[in-house]
Amino acid sequence: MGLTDQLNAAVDAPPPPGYDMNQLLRRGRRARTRRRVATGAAGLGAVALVAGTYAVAAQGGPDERAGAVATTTTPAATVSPPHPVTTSPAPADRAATIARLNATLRKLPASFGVPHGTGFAFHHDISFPFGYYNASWTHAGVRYAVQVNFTRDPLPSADSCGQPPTASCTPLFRPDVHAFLIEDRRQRFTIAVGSRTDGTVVQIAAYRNGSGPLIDPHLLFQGTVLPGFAVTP
Amino acid sequence: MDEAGFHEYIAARMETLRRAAYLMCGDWHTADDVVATAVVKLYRDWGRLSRLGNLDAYVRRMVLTAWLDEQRRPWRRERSMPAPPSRAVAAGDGPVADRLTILGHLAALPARRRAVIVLRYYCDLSVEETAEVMGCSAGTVKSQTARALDALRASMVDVSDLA
Repeated sequence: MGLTDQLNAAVDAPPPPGYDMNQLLRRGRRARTRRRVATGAAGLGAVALVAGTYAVAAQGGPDERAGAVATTTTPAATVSPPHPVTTSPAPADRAATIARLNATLRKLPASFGVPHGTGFAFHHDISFPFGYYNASWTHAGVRYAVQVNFTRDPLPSADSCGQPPTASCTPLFRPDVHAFLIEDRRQRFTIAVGSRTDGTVVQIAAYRNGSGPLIDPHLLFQGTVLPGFAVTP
Repeated sequence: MDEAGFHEYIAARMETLRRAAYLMCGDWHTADDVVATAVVKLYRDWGRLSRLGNLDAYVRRMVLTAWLDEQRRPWRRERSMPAPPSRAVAAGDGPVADRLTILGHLAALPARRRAVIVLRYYCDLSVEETAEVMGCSAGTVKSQTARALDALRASMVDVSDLA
């Protein structure tokens, strides 16, 4: 018997599969959601970097900045949206929303350490047809990013929660908000994403540099449910 | 996402992928794990991958990569057992003996040579198709195949029809 025949004979009576196809599909959906979250986080970082660059440029040349502390935080009043589009809210509405979000930013617990001058800025890209509001800062070795946007998607289900290998995802559902608490020990970030019944999605991410402990996701969750973090009044 | 297209594609190929993975891994549990990993990744990226010209080669590569990754995991490097494993040494009589013999000889090959044998003589791929799946040159496939066949020949597997 030749090699090909022997190989065929070796697998001619396989046992029943040890996996459930429906379970694999659920894992696939979760993997897709995780990838989208990771892509969003990377995009957020890129936007923060660009916004920081704009902010530094808007402050003037090196002489004017002498003595100033280098920072990538985003003062709202100095940053223009990188891609203004027709679906974005009117400037007056945008300013009112930013004022409300900034006021709410001050209500975050002291452990977030929001530096003075940190504020929201409006951004837009193809992933967010209604635009989104973003504020980011660094405190005690942790870079925080708060993102508030609006969606017409239905509230996510528990199946949308990602699972290991590297990230743990805990769904936390209340009548007014469906939230996911995501913790990735390898990539060293913690994210709370809250989807509210009014269509507002609030995401608070904490990226830990160095070897310190990760941020408690429940602390981030408390931030996502603050009433002032809303796109509509 | 074209969910129906995914189901149709995977239903037609699942069993072949599973059997090929078994020939590489040597046990059905690992083969199921490897195929499951590939299916999850395929589903995750189906929107993009379904437009590929040669999806079958890509999926076989996903299975191969999943298995090679599995091989590298720390808990796969060393196995505790009460006695040294016995290796099949000669063909016996009957299909079960044949099966154990070829699996034993395959298990003795290095991972990539085993993969070459499975892809060429079980999946019936050409040298060029095998090279595409393995991400190497056609020359490497030829040399790996020759060495693997030499090893099998030395183990008394009948490869005369391939000379």
